[in-house]
Amino acid sequence: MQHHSSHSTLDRSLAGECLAMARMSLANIWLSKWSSVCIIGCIVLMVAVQATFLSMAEGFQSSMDSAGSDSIAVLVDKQSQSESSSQVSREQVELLRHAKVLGSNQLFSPEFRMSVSVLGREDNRKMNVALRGLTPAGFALREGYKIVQGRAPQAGRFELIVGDSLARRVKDTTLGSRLNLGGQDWTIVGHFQLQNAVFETEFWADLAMVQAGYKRENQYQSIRIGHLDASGLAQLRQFVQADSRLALDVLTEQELFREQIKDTTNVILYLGWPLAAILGIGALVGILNIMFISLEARFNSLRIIGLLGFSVTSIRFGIIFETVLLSCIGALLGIGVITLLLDGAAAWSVTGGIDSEVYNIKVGVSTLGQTLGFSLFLGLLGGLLPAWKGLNKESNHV
Amino acid sequence: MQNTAVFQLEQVSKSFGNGDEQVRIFRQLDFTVRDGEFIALMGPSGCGKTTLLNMLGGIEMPDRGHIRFRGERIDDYKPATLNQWRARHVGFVFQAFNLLPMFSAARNVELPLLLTSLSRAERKRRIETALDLMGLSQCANRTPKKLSGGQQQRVAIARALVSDTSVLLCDEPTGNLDKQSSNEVLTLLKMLNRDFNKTIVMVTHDPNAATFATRTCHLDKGSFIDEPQQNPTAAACA
Ligand SMILES: Nc1ncnc2c1ncn2[C@@H]1O[C@H](COP(=O)(O)OP(=O)(O)OP(=O)(O)O)[C@@H](O)[C@H]1O
Ligand SMILES: [Mg+2]
Repeated sequence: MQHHSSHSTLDRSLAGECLAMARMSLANIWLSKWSSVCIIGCIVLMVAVQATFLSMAEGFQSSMDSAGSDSIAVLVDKQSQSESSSQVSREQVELLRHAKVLGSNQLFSPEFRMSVSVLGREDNRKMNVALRGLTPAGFALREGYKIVQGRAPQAGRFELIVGDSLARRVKDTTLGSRLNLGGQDWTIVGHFQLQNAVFETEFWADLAMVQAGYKRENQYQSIRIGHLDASGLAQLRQFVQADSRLALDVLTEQELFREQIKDTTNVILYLGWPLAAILGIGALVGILNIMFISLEARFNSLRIIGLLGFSVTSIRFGIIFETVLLSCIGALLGIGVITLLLDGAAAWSVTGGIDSEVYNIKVGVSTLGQTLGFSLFLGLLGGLLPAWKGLNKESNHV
Repeated sequence: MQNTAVFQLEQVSKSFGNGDEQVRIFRQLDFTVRDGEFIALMGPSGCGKTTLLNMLGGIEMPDRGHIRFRGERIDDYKPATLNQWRARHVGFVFQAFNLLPMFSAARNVELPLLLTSLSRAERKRRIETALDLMGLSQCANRTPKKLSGGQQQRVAIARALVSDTSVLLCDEPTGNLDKQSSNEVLTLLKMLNRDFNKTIVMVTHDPNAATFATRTCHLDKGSFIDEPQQNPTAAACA
């Protein structure tokens, strides 16, 4: 203790000071647990919402990218833009089946689709999905259609195959199980996959059997025709327009799908982002409030730190470090929770009527990057303001 | 050594506020602190004791006049230089709220050392020495909340000591303490002054505290009442 007069050792480095302030922030995060928890909570909440809709959008986008063929025409009645509410008569089907515009190599698939109610595998919750009746041409039209378990349904029997995605979520879909749909017992004989899992959300059966099961022998929902090139499609449109008995819209499968999911896309766009923005502002206000109060409580500590010779820069660094660290923790927690809850889970959204379409929620790099980035930005803002405004009034001497 | 001036205030004027609300605290004040002195600074509340101490420590700047530290003017230092100067030469002890609540005693004491390039081992050694000297070896890992007022104040003194500055500025270091804790703290300050040749300026309201000092200065209405006298009792001890 005797005067070392160690002046040479007192060369200050800003990095060292900042390190010390960072350590102080860490200690302070622990000491004022409740403020810290509140800040983290603000961010978790915001991130949870943001990550939810971003991961939905991301999953949606990746499902969308390959969804629907543009060389398959879908014909639905003029009043309804979607398949589920459409009605096509036997007369219309027969008119088109023999239309000259269609070459002999084209697949012609009249389809009948019913909404059926089934129970969720995990939560036993009722959900509406589609039961679709198809002819062999209908199966052949589907891109990447293959039976992965069991076999295809036989004509003349009440046999079902079920999309792989759907099978994972619905009760009683193992091979050999029986399902009562519309008062009729059906046997599950196979699981199928498609190129795009988005469409693996239906029960498929022989067309005539579905019509018979529901006593709608002369009723169809839609007609699929494929494969058509652009001029084939144009000719088909002309043909349909020219015949007044064919009050049908001719869409490509892609167009139909886009039309169906438009609502969902809009929800994501018009609800998701503003919601995240509002929550972001809320979180920022929360952080600012907490930080100003927390700095008020630390007034003396900061004064002492200043008096001991720590630079304002390092003190500011400490404050910003604190908020950025807290929002980082919040963001990771939020993303973690959302990942645990939602990643890989199917999002069911009601689109185009009453049926549920399924797509997989994806907590991917884009979601991670955007939420983390947004949180860090908020943390930075939430620290910058208090670091400047909070310190100015009390540290004119430092 | 005893005669070298550590601080010299030359014709220092200081007021707060502006316009009609301006309060003049000092007008052309002269004051000298010599090496090895232990000065008790007394006076009625609001007379400017804290302001004077803050000017010595480079926390407040005079409006006019000069402040010299060992002959060199500090009143024209830039804030950054002043910060460095303070870290290097002055230790502070305040009446209360001296310690950072989030840190243990040892970490509190370490703070000034974080501004140095001392190794971790050297810092540890110094912290132990300082705490030891203040009789606090047992309390190194306790946070301020778990220390008595007297112990807290001794931690604050340990922190003021740890970077081994030659000057200690204490603003009512015993203001919040009972008589026994006061005496402990004052005895330690006196020991530092006598055995380690620390120059100490201590603001106090307590005449008993003043008896530990080598000189008592009475401030009133912005100037020293009497020519500051050597404290007879303390001088005898010195
Ligand atoms: N930053 C400031 N702004 C305005 N006025 C101030 C400021 N600091 C001190 N004063 C005023 O200057 C005067 C002297 O204050 P100072 O704190 O030096 O008194 P003091 O002698 O330490 O009093 P006490 O014994 O109560 O601590 C007081 O009237 C006070 O109100
Ligand atoms: Mg005072």
